[in-house]
Amino acid sequence: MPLLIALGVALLGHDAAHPKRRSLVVLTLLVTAALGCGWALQKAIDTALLPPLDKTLVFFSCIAITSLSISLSIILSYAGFRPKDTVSKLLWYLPLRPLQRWLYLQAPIYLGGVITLITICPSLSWLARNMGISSFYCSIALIIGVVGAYGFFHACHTSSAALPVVCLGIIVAIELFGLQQFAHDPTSLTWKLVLTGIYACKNLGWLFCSRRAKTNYTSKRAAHMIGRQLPSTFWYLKKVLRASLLNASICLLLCLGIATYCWRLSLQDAEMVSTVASLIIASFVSDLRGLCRARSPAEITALRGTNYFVIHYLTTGILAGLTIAPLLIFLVVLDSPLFCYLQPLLGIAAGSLAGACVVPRPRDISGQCFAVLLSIVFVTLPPRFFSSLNPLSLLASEVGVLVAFIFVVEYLRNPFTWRKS
Amino acid sequence: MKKSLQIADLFVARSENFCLKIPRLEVQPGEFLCVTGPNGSGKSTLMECLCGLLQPTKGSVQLGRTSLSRNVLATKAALGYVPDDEDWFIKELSAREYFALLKTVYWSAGVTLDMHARQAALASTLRFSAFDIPIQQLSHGNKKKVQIIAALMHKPNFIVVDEIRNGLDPLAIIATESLLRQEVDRGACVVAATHDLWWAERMADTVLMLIDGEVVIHKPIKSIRKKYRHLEKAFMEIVRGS
Repeated sequence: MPLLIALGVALLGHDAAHPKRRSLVVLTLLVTAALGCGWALQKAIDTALLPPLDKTLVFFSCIAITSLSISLSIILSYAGFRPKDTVSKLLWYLPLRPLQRWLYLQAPIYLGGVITLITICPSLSWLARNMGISSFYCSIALIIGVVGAYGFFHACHTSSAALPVVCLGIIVAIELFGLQQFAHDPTSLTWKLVLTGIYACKNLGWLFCSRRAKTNYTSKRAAHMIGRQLPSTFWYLKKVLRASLLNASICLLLCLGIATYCWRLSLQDAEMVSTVASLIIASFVSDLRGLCRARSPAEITALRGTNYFVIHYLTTGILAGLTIAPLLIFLVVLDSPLFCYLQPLLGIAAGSLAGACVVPRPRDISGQCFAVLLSIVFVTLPPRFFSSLNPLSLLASEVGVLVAFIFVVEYLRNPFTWRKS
Repeated sequence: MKKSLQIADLFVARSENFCLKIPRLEVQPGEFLCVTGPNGSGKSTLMECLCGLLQPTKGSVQLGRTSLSRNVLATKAALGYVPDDEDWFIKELSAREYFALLKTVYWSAGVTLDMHARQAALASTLRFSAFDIPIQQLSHGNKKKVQIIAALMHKPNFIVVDEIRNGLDPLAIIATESLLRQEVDRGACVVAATHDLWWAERMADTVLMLIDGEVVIHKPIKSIRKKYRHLEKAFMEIVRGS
């Protein structure tokens, strides 16, 4: 126990003048914030004016986010106690039993796991009861998500590239099987499977990519090759192409979109597709912004003045739009109302705000997590409070609010950006 | 019965360009071995292997009759390591808390010694009194003193030190030397990596010189003095000639 407490202090009070005091404050804040988030999420889903199927979607998104958060804590724990870290070395040097040592090395996971459980699980179980979903299936989904993510992460770190690829292949195959089943029998249960699968694949895709992204977010070989092929004015495209995390994420999304389209699914609910697109695009945009933040020199040199700044955001939006194009094609097939085409803008704005607020470290997916959460809140909450407003006006004002927030955050962060170069 | 430290066919591939090869090495109880060599010759790699922080690609490190890789608690508890890295702690704790933590771990590993008294004696010898300040706020020298106390507190039979003098004041250096001599007299095996050849000559019974990961000299200091007069002269001749 003393060693566990010491590791907790090392983790939370890192580089503080008063480490113990800081770690206590951080822990209290984390738990309070987790409880608050859980309560807000519960209220948001419960009070949202959504059709039952959309509620189910939001519910399963929460499950996906839970497993994502736990995966995130695993990744962070990897970043915290890496084999070459001094704490890790100390644990190897001290006379500890292998199991004891392993448990201590995994200490940050307990912290992340406990906080995640505090955040989401009470809300999930409460909602599951209210929505008549069996808590047994819920627990199974959660356990599969967590164990899958954890196993996949370890597989990625202990073996060659072949195993993760095979794992991903199996997951995609299961996903396609689910889609095929859905094509024949479009019941709500299969929909749930499809949606959970999409998130699981994306989740695992991130984990897979985090292994490949190494420490600097970019692939050296790709950087070298692309650097020779493209002129320097295409710096943004170069940046996107070089980032293994990002382009694998794009590939995954495109594959899923195309697969959905190719199976010619007879979807009836365009709003649901639009909501899915919003959530996906939010995480993707935050990924793009995070990528640029991870390379601040490029941003400082290339984004001089307001014009560059606006162009950068526009490019991010266009690239994100291209990524979810297959889902938008799907909306065309369904002959959807204008609102459905515009809803992904909310995702773009939420993702941009998340990208502006959270500066992710390499292997850190907290930005995406935050973006999806923000997107869910903006998709579900405002229709409840402003039900009398026209949906398009509401959407426009929501996007406006998010853009204003982005402006404030970016201005506070980089005041020089707004000066004329 | 005192036990020796043995290395057999050690091969550690650290990168594509560097590997450490030590066919055979034995440090007897009560022997002080100084490991020296130019930068990047593999001294710290050897130290990490001796502490079990680095798994050899081939070969083994034995403390007494037990291989270090078997992770026997008693064997690991018989090891004391002073690293060159000044942040090799849970630096958010104070020295007192850090020592208490180590004592708990060593007690649970079967060390029955009165480590409180030992810690107090070591702190007094090294003139260390900043027990209640977080380690990260200590000076370089005081951090080194904490590392020395932590490494010797449980009376280890195998002591591995890497550039132990770095950051210490002259008084602390003298105190450290006397502590190491006491440990050698007690029958502990001491392995010290250093660039200070005069210190090595003064302290060592045996010298191991590494160049590019290979052993170029492994001899008692007396025979080195006999051939080259000084260790420094031997170092210059061998390194320049290599």
